[in-house]
Amino acid sequence: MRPRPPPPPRLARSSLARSSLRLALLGLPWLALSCRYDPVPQEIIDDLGPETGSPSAQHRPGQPCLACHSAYAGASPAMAFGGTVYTTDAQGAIGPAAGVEISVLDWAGVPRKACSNLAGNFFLKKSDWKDAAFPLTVRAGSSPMTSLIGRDGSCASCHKPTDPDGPAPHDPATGANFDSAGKILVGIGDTGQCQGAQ
Amino acid sequence: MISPPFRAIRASTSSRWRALLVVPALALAAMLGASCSKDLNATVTHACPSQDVFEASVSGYMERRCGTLDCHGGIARPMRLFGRLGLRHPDDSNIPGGKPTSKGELLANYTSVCGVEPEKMNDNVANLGNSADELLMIRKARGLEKHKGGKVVNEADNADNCMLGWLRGDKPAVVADACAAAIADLQ
Repeated sequence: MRPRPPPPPRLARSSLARSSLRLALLGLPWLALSCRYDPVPQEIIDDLGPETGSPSAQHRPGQPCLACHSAYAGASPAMAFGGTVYTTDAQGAIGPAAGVEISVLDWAGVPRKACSNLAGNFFLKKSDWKDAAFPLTVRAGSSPMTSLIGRDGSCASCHKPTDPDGPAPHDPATGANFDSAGKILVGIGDTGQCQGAQ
Repeated sequence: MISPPFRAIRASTSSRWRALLVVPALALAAMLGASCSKDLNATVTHACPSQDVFEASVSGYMERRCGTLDCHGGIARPMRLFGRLGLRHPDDSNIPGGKPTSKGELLANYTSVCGVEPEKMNDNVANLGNSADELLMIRKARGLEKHKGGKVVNEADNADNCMLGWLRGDKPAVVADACAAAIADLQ
């Protein structure tokens, strides 16, 4: 029997091509991940800290909802608008305000409503409001917001906790500071007025 | 031993290399010399339209429409604006929604808006506002230039007239009326 001839060089090239293709395929997910990475929203997400308990409509009160419930981070449901409202009890202690109606009007004149849940959280899903036209005007219970919302659907991006490294808070009740509007406070009479919170 | 023709080649090669090194070195030295001779404390003066009109009328509109905390009221944002309903100057010990916009905040807003395109703003003053609509602050507001906040004004509406009137050097009363109407449109 004659010995088998060595494989032709074409086969060797084909094996090289296969290896390259495999490497490329292995690298694709990493490439996709690196394309998705955006340091600005990622830093906001990283600063939020770990989840305590299990995610639900009542989780992470006071945090910027759209940091995660966005196209970038992909948390479900995607939101168009969301935040947390608080009220003060008879002793002056601040706590979540449940059942508060949040009315939002966009620049095209389209009104939307949301109800706060037991954690004070409220939100409007992106699927229910795909084309919100900024700026927005907002009313929480009987309190109208005095400024417009220019472009950010996360209330807590501006109604944020005081920066511990920044100047001292000037409003001890809400934590408002030079660059923060503090917590959204509504009257106790505004609570329990709205049903159907998510 | 190198034969004469080879020596000649080596000599010409080394002189070519020397020339190649010397020319950039001289250029670098010239650049360094030029940069060192500059006065680092020198200032350039650029003109900007009336500070009084801006502070009395235009700032009020821009604070409300552009200077919200999530837009140009962001501490790190270009054309940063301070104001009663948005970002407060850290030196003022104030909060959003608190005391009226301070004199210092108005000056900071004026400086901020004039400093977006200082050379173009200078040209605009020199040509009596004829190039006002070429400025970024107008092009972005009109949605002609990419703007994260989208289209903010329509050509010749109250807000457009408020900002353009200031840039063109219109009479203070005319600018004041346009800006007051633009603010009323936001209510």
